[in-house]
Order: sequence, then structure tokens, then C-alpha cells
Amino acid sequence: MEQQALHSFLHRYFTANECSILEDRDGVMKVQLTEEQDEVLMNRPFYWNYVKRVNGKGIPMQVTFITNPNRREEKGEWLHFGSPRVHQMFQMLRKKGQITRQYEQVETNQQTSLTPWLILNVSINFKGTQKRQEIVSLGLQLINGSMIPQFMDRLGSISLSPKIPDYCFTLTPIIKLPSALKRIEAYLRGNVAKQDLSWGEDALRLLEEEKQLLEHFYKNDVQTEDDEDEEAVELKAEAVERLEREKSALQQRYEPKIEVDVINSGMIYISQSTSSKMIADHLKA
Amino acid sequence: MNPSIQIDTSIDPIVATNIQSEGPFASWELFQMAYETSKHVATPEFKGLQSPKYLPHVDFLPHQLNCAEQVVEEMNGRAILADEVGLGKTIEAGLILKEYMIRGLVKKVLILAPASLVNQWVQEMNQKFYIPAAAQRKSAIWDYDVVVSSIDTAKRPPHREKLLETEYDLIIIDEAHKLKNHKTKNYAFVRSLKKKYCLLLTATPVQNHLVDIFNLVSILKPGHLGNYEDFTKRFGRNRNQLSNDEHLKELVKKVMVRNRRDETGVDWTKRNVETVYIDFTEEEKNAYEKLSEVTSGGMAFSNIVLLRELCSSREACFLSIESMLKNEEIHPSRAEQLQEMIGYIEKMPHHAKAQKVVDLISKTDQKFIIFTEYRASQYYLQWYLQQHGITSVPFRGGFKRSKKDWMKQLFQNHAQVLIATEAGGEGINLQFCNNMINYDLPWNPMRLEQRIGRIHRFGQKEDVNIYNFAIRDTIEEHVLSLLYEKIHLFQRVVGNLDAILQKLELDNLEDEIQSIFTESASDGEMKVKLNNLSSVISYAMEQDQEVEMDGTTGAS
Repeated sequence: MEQQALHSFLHRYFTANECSILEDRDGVMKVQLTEEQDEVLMNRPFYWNYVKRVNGKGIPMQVTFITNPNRREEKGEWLHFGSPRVHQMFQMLRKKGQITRQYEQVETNQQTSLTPWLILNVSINFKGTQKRQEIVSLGLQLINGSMIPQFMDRLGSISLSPKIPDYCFTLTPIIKLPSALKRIEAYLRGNVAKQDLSWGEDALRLLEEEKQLLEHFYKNDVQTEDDEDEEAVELKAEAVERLEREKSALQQRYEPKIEVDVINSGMIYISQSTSSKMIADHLKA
Repeated sequence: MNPSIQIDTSIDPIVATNIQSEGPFASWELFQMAYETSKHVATPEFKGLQSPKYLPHVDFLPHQLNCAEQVVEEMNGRAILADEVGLGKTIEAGLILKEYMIRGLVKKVLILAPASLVNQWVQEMNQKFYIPAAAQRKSAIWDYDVVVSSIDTAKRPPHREKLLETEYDLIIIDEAHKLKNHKTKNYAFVRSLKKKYCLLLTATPVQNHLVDIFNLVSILKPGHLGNYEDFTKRFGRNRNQLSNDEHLKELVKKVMVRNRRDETGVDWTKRNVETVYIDFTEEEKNAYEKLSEVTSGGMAFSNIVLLRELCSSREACFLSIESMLKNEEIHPSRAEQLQEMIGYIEKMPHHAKAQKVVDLISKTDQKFIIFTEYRASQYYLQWYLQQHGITSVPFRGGFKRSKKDWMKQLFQNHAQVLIATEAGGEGINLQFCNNMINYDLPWNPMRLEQRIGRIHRFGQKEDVNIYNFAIRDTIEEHVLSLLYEKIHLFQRVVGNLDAILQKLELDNLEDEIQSIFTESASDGEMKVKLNNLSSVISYAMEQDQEVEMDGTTGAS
């Protein structure tokens, strides 16, 4: 199943990145890379550097990727979700898919206003002794301040395009972006604080316990009887330094933290009727 | 809500600027895929391992997965990995490293390994774990995120300074028992590195003294076993086993994972051990007897060495005598004796053992590893095999890394035999070979296990054949038949023999054997003493069967 999911991912990836798929049968896909994708995926910077320096035209490679486990011995590169090549694609996507601006495709012949929505996809990172992530997608309507979670899912059924449709115009946001972001920050903080934070308390307790062990360990080393004895003073200084280093390592390792990373963001302009429907659906849910 | 948990939900203001910019903007498809990808690689739970999902091409063993999980979840990334030889400590370390990298907790990594293992680590990390590790050679490459180096290289300038200022997320130290002495420079160096997580790999966490474990734990978790004063006060003179102190045992369990071969549930291939007794030829016997006479006037240490060497090759013995003669303080009568010995040695034909090696190997096309204690014997054997049309490559601890790799490859692809000296035994994995000849036996059983561990390890698909050579009516036969066989050294996987020897305060068996030979006035006395020694060890082993030894086994 995983491998099939990977196969459809590859298909989408290469199509979205304008590479032509030359063959695609039974889990074996042959792709003509574009110059951009060759540079991203094929790890041959010297070649591309050279081509650019002599003002020549590079020849992007054709590559065969195999996702069908029964055919992995065939000629081509066997891929699975852990392959470095696939992770290069992931990285590329995160870089290229950072900001967007989309308009709902409305079929109309009269003046229609589109409502501005800010979309923000984030990863909330919970880090104690271990780490977990929560991926959150938020939509904030910039006229009346309605906020909708799982916004990506709700947008799935709407047809979007980077071009504003004929007869349509966008409303000017009442909520400016910086304050929109503040609202989202506050929403996230409230959301996080409601969760079970016992993992963080455990981490704090452990941090204290181990700090005490450290103090005890260095107890005799960090004090000297005789301040005249140069060697003893030096040894003490070393021990103090080691103790501090260990403490800071403990802090890094255990100190509970919740932080937010932005995955991507953008503006989505949606007709008022769709907007209202989305808000209503959200309130019902 | 606990106020001490830092909650920072602030969003980088650059986001607002980017959204208001004039693009370029991502297509909806790319935007969606970026979101889905992030969701795919996110780790939604604190617990559980993600790494195996990323590595479907590797079959991990249950004990390896358990170990990784235990280290990440319970030991919070600082642990001693103390599996017995050949159970895959490197794989466990790789799993843990991968897990932390996937979770975004580790980026900067330093792996310290014996020089002979550096390339193997690099290969394994790259091929098995898709971790782009690089080996430190002469030029500095410390800017790489994952670097493998020997301690000797790492602690020397200019590398030293660079390393000491780097904040490592994870430090892995292979063969960590070499750090057991806290007074060494290596220990001080390792302790001054900045590290968040740390893994120490060793098959023998307690080698000689209980304080060994204290020193290892103090690298990982200073204070976990109290401070030095507390510990030495309580255990200082006490060489007793870990198992004797329940409290200490429990504490150690919290920072150490130890899997034993028989607990792993893996179907290990069989280990066939055959003792091959060889008779000296008439000339050799004369020489040996002459040497015994010469030496019986107070068997000095050097004489034992000569006897052992004679059992290995005349070359080894000859070289030793020669260097003894060069010593200016040598007594004239001793010099005379030795000169006479040389006369005997020169008359010796080819060594009976070498002949036996040829008999054994020439019958088959299978690969063999031959271990010898002496370099002179190594040269001699190589030449002798060549005379009989058998291809061989030498292997020594002193070889440069690249040469070791080259020799290993030659052996794998071209030569039938690899002849290794003791020092070369550590750190090469030769699972593709399943025959080993112990051409002469070390007097340290741990070293024997190290030798066998080179081929009888995880990844070995065939039954393993071990041939122990010993010459009849010599010092070799005595040790083999009166000691090693009596304590069933070869039947059992050595495992906790080291622990037993410590318990008996026999942690240097080599010295023990030596003194039996030097201090016995007659052959009879020597045999009685060897017999006693083996009885003592056997008895301790029987007792050990009843009590689970050091209790520091895997799952807790």
C-alpha cells in the first residue's frame, strides 16, 4: 500500500514540476527531468556549473524509478518512502510550495466580490524528553475574523486558480496581516495550553533530579580548601566548567518547549457564498 | 498549566512580508503537496520508533529494535550499548541516530571508533541508514554533519580544538571499554566534548574492576552512580560482581542495554570446534626438548615465550633468540645456551603445524582465516602456503586503514586465506568466511572470543568451523587440554566468562598461566596446578548457571 501511495506521489510530483512521464507501467516510471529537477535530484552540481559557465545547454537526464517491489531487480532506481531521493523531493516541495495566492473559480457574468482568507499551515513542536509534532492548518477570514481549523481539508472541494476570474474583484482586508498573525498566535497558544502537558512536567521533574545528581557528583571537585594552591584552583576551575557544560546539556535535552514552525502560507480569495458555507459547516462540526 | 513549560507560538513576521510580496507564488498543487509532505514526515507521537519505516531494506532483529526503543524512550538518548560480540551494536546505534535525525533532534554527530573500523562505520551509516557520514582523514572535514574518526586523530591538533568547540547533538563511541581508565588523556578528551546525547558501545562494560563501569557511566550521566568518593568508598577494594549489589545493578540497568546471544531468539548458526593435535617431527621434538632443558634451570618469562614461539614457527623463536643475544647484559653461559639453540633450530625442517594447515586447506576451496600470535609465523605461513599454491593475504593491526580495507577485499574476492595476527583481530567483520584456524592460542580467553566473533556473528549464514591447533606434549597441549577444554571454553559462547574470572580475582588469566609455568619445579606440579585452576573456574561456572549473572540483560 505504502508503495502505491509513493507511486501516485511520484506521478503528482513530476506532473506538478512539469517533467514529462515517458512510461508508467506497473510500478515502473520513466521520467524526462527538466533542468530544474535534474539540478534538484541528480546531485551533479559540477555538470550544471560547467554548463552554465560555458553558456551551453545542459541535457537533463531521463530516469526510471521503481516502486513495485516485485520489479525492484529491474533496471532503474528502487524507491521507498525512506529513500534519500524521495526526501530530496520532499525538501524541494517545502521550498517551492511556501507561499501561494489562489482565487476561487466562480462562473459569473456580474460583478462578484471575493473574500480574503489567510491560510497558515504550521507544525506545533512539543519537545520534552521526546518530541512530537502536530500539523495544524488554519484559515482566518480577514473581514470578520472567523477562524476555521483543518482549512486545507475544507478547501479540497473548491476549485482554485492563480488567476482571478472574470467579473470578480477582491475585498480589501479589514484585519491587516500582522494582526492576523497575532490572532493566530493567540489561538495556537490557547489551543496548546488546553492540552495534556504532563509530559512537560515529567521532563521538568527529570531535569531537576538529574541536575541534583550532577551537583552531587561535582560536589567535592568544585570547592577547594586552599586558594593558594594553584593546581587545586585550576582543577576546581575545570570542574566548574564541566559541571556547567553538563548542566546546559541537560537543559537542552530535557527542558520542555512548545514551538511553532510555519510550513506554508498564502492568501485564498473565496466567494461570499462559499465562505459562509464553510463557516457554517465548521460551526456544525 | 505549568508556567515553567515554555510555550512560544510566535510566528516569524517574514510570513506577512512574503504573503504580501509579488510572488512568485506556488501553484495550488505544489502548495498542497508541500503540506501533505510535512504531514507525512511529521512524528505525531512521543513514543515508538519511526526509523524502521524509513529503512525497509534492512531486516532488524527484535532485540535491536527493542534496544533502540529503550534507549530513546527510557534512557533519553544516553546509554551504554553492551550486547555481546556480534549482535549488532552498530546497527542499534544507527537506528537510534536515525530516529533522532528523523525527529529533528540531532544534526551534528561525532562517531569515534578504532581506526580500523572507521571505514566500516562510514559504509554502514551510508548504505544501511542513508546517513551521509564522512570519514576524517588528514584534511579537516569537521564541517560535515556526521563525521567518523578515530580518537587518536580527533584528539590531535588541529582537529582537537575544532571538536572541543563544536556542540554535538550526538556522540557515539565504539569500543568504549578503552575509556575505562579515567586517568587517561582519551578519557579526559572525551569527557570535555560538548554533547547532548551519547552512546557508548562495548561488549565488555566491566573488564577488570567495578570502577570501570563507574567511569563509563560518568561520561554518560555523571552522578548516576554517585561521585567518585562515594563509589570507591563503597566498592573501591571490592572487586565483586555487579550482581552482588542489587542497588548498583538496578542503577546500571537504567543506563545500559545488554543482550545475550541465547536471549535474542535468533537462530544462530552452529559453532563446530575441533581440536587438532599435531606431533612434532623428530628434529622439532629434539629442539623443543633442548629448549625445555635450557629453560628448566628456572623457567624465566623469556623462556616460556621461546617455548610458545617454537610451537608456532622456528622463525618466531629464532627472532626472539637473536634479539636476546643482542642484549649486552646477557650472561655468557646463557648466550652460549642460546647459540646452541640456534643450531638446533636451523636443523628443523618445515614446521609440523604449517604442514597441517596445508593438509586442511588444500582439500577444499572454502575460505579460511588463520590467526597467529606472531608476526614471524605470519610471514612464514604466507610463504609456505604460497609454496603449495594457496593464495593468502596478511592482516595486521598496524596496517593503515586503507590497506586493511584492501586486504579484506582481496580476501573476499581473490585469496583463499587471510592470515591475521592478534592485533589485527579487532574490528574486521568477515562473515563471508566460516572457517577459522587458531594456529596458536592466546592465553587470554577474551581474545579468543574476539577472534571467533570476527566470523561467528550476525550475518553469518553457514555453520562456523573452528580448528584449534596444538602440538602434543608441549606447553600448548597442556593449556588446551588441561585448561581450555576443561572449562568448555569453546562449547560455550564466552559471554560471562570474564565476569566469572573477575569474581575469582583471576582477571588476568594470562599472568596466572604464566606463573604456573614459571613456578612449577616439575611437569607433574605444573599439571596439578593447571588442573586446580580449571576446577576452580568450572565450579564457579556451575554456580553461575544457577544464578543469573550480572542481571544487566536487555529488556527490563
